[in-house]
Amino acid sequence: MGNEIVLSIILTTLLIFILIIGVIISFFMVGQQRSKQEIILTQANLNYEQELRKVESELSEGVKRHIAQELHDNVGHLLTCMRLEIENKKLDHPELIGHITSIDQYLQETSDQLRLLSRTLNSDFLEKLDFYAAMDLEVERLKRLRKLEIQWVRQQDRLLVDTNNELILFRISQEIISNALRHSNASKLKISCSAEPNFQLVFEDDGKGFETTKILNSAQASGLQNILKRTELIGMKCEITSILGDGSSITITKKTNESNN
Amino acid sequence: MFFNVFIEIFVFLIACCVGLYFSRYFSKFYLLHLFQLLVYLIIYVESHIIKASQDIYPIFLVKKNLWVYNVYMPLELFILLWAAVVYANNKRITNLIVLAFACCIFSFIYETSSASFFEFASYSYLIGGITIVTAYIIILYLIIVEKRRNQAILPEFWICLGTILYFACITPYIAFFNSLQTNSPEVNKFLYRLITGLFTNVRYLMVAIGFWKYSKQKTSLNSLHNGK
Repeated sequence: MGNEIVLSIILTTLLIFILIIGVIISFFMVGQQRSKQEIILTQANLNYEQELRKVESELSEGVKRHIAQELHDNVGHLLTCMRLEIENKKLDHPELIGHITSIDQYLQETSDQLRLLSRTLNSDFLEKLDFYAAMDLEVERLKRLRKLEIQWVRQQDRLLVDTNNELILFRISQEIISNALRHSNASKLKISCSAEPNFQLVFEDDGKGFETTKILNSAQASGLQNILKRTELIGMKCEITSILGDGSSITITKKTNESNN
Repeated sequence: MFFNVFIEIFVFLIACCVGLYFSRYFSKFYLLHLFQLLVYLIIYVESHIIKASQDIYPIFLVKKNLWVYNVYMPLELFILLWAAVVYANNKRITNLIVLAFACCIFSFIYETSSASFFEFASYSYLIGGITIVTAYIIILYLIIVEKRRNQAILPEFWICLGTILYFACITPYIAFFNSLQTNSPEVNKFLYRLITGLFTNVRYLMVAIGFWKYSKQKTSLNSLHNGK
């Protein structure tokens, strides 16, 4: 009788022990299943975000291309007509040459600026160029604006970036330069690009700077957020450092396997 | 017998030393488990003193030491369920635990008043054990399924596992405790050493692992904050 009770108690204890272990194992399995589902969901969200960015980018490129074409074909044409008209006036009224030469020079400058702007906006044109050539063009255009002193340093001729991403990288650069022009009150902007050992594109200005965390968390920072998302899209990393009153620096680097992890 | 006691004391001391040494890092959940451990240590020592005194002076201490565990039982239940409430931090779970605790206390009062306070209230202990197992299984579910971090690293996983294993596995033995104590005390003693002894050691060893892992986690976090 005693042995039977002992045996039944021990067996029941063993059964409960196995049951508890089973419950815990099933918890683990449910946890793993949920983790897998979460990974799939995150991946799907990421793909959706990437597709959305691509569509946004394509739409924006389309609009820019249209504006560039309008500037080149319509406004450019009108400016050329104006210059021809001025040339005719010069021939008809030689006494006015002294008065209209300055207007002609301004018109020439406007025409050049417009041509450069339409080129940097036109993705069809940019696709024929590489990143360096597009940046040369952009820097030349900005130098003509005479708003700030620009230093453009490129260390190698060969850029180690996927050619499909060069246009996006150029658009990111344009956005950063535009931000520096509009908000930083900088007098100097240094852009340097190196491809070896790792790709690195740095923008440094001597402007008023900003509080990085505060600005990035505010609703005003849509431009900066856009830069960060676009760099993510092309598999790169963007680091923004700024000290209030002491300029800011934006560094774009290629993601390594370590930073991916 | 002595080997069992030696192993039990060894495991308690390990858990107590680890807990007390790292107590400055502990959150409320761990402090409550440490407090429970210390209360159990006092009760354990007291029960052994009473038992030894009975052997020396059987006339003065006629009652067995089981009433000590009747004092300890509601205290343990309260501390462990409080720790569960602290960890879950959920109003619905808190309400359920409070309700379950009230039921346990009611059954304890009923059992001790209907029999005798000096008899071990085994059925109340059984109900209390089931309540603790249920509460800690919910917490374990929250740890494994909701948190979904590396569970082997999580210190609370070990504490919950130890507590669940102890209370779930001693349930069949506790259900027969009073009848075995009356009819076959030798069998009861054997089962006590085998089941309660084994799972007490497992429980407090896991509690010690939980304390150690938590303090390790905290110290590594502190050193990370200090830039070491």
